[in-house]
Amino acid sequence: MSYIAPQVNVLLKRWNGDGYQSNIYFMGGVGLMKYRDYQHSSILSEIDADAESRRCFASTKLQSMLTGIGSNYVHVQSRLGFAPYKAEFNEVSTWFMVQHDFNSLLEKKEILTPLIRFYYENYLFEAGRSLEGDWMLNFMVHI
Amino acid sequence: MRRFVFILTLLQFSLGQAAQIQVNTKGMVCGFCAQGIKKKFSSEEAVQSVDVSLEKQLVTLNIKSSQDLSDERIAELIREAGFKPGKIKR
Repeated sequence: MSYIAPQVNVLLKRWNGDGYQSNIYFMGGVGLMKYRDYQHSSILSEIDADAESRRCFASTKLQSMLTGIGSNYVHVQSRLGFAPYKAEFNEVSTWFMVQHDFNSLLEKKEILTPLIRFYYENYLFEAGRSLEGDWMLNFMVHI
Repeated sequence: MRRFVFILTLLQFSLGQAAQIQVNTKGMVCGFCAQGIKKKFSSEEAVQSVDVSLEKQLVTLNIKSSQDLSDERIAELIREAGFKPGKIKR
């Protein structure tokens, strides 16, 4: 399944505290979804919430897509993580996480993926492998 | 003459010293947070360098000699970067 669309991303609420930050975002877009042999216009909406300290991380996002061909879906992705040590900005930060995905459209509706994440200054790299054996790699540069 | 040179040297030293401002900042938890703060302040003309301590929740601004950055502007930049400014110490 692939999806192409311009998206808007709005921060609805942020809490900044002593050693933690939490956020709620809304994302929305109108575009094209391709699933198997079908391609159709679609409306995507998503609510993200996260809470993070230097040792703990939790996030969840609820994504729903409405299409004209009846292949609407709901995707819920949640993550829990912990850092074994507190790293400074100029040190490598390591996180152990587990990601749970539920997607109403896919045959395998629930996927559990343990992953490891590294931060260094403005670089983020994470790698995981689902219990079914599928790999996930993410690399991000904050510019 | 020697005394004059000594006083002049002291004067030059004190004029050339960059001022330091420390800002308590709430919500900084990761490298991306620190990067955002550094980027925000680095674009300010008066700022020579920026140091961030996640452990102390502290942003240290080294200000160029003969320049200044007001508390209001500092708080505004911290908020724009997505964090909550606390005590500002000069």
